[in-house]
Amino acid sequence: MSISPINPANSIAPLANGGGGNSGTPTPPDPADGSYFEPMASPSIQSALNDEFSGDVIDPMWTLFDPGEVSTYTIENTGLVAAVSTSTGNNLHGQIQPLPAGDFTVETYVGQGIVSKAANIYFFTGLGLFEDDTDESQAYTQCLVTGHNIEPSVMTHIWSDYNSSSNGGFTAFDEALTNIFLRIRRNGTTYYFDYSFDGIGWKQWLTVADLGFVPTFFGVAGCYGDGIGVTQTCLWSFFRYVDEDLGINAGIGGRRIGFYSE
Amino acid sequence: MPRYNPFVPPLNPNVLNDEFTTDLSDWTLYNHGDNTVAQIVNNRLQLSQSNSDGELVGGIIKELPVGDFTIETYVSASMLYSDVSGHYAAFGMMVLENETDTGRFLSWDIVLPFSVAFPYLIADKYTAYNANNPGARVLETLIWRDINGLFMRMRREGTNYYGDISLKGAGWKQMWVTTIPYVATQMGLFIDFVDYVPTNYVEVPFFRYTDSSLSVNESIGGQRIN
Repeated sequence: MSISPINPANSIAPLANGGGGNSGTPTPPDPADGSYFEPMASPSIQSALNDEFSGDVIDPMWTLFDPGEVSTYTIENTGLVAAVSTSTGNNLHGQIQPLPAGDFTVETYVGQGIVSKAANIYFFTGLGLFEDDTDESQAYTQCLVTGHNIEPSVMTHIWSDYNSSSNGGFTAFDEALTNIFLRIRRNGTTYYFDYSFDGIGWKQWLTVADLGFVPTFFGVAGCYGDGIGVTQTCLWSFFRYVDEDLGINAGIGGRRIGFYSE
Repeated sequence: MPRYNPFVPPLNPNVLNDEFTTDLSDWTLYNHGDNTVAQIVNNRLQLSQSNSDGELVGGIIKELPVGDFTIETYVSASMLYSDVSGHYAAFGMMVLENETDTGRFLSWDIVLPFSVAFPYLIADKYTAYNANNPGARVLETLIWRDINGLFMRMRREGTNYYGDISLKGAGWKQMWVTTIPYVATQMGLFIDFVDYVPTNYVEVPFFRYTDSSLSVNESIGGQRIN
């Protein structure tokens, strides 16, 4: 796992005793040290399955899922980016890794680079649970969806394979929405789907008792339905996992970090 | 390049400020409905309520000095979805006549439905912890739905009380001005989850006070950081 430390050039120093979602009970920092709560900050203790997408190349723990061969994944200074320009129908793509058995919480922060909202075009960026790592895998995704004639939305989709999907849940937002925190939790056999605009408070908006399959892989997921030759991009700022259901009131990341004042 | 971050504490914090890093010993629990919990979780204040039957405002309060003031906070909610009409979460700040269950108070809060309906901003004049006065409502306005949190503040200038909001903690919009028939002597943060049984939460990274009424282009906290 090649996760880089926070770039010293940014002069933001993580506190040795700063809190973190899965770091147990941290010792609170002294307010006099000049710290503040930063919801985007990485957890103090990183799971081996986490990725802050801060290296130069995609970590080898990820496996490209792209049966339709439509996407190009790179690490940019904004995170993991998937570019797609042409897609006939829906082509689910992603970067996946084995999902451990048991309860879990997985979080990401997504954005989209959108230049076209032509008829019948839909653009997905989010998280995916996959039956396996084959091209025929079933999948269940929760994505920020931007498209023709709909407001930006968080939607879930059930994929019988990479190019056949049906709608699950749907909740719409304002046209100005371009980024959102997304999270999936599993408790026993029940799956919970949350979103957040600030990474501090979360809304559990959907509960699914049965996905229709048992996922053994998970990761980031995207789709550019009926792409027409205009390159559009999915962005993931991080991928964070913890082996428990955190519930609605805790995040994996976010902690107090120190700073150097101007 | 230095950049402004509104969450960063001020360089010279007032003794009444709280960045919620240690404990709540400077506060009094306002819990007349006996359904509110206040604790520090992951270096934030977390207010929670469950088994809320009607309006039961609860939170934390502390003494408000006489004279002009500005208080600022950021509040964000963690909530379960409900498609039942009438289930909503109100959370924000307040200034109170006193700490008793019949003490009147002026509230300034976000009201998020548990469904996906649009949220509101509401300022109310309560006559007790469980009784607002709809006829005296100061402000009720629909807001952008894509929020679960907001920078909020209240100010007192002479006998006038003001309510402001900001999406980014810099650049404030004054939303209302009113007077109240008492002098507020307590200030605090509150939660009110209406008619909803499961536990839900409000997360608060800071509470900041200054002894003057700031203009809409000033903020108590936030600094430029490298």
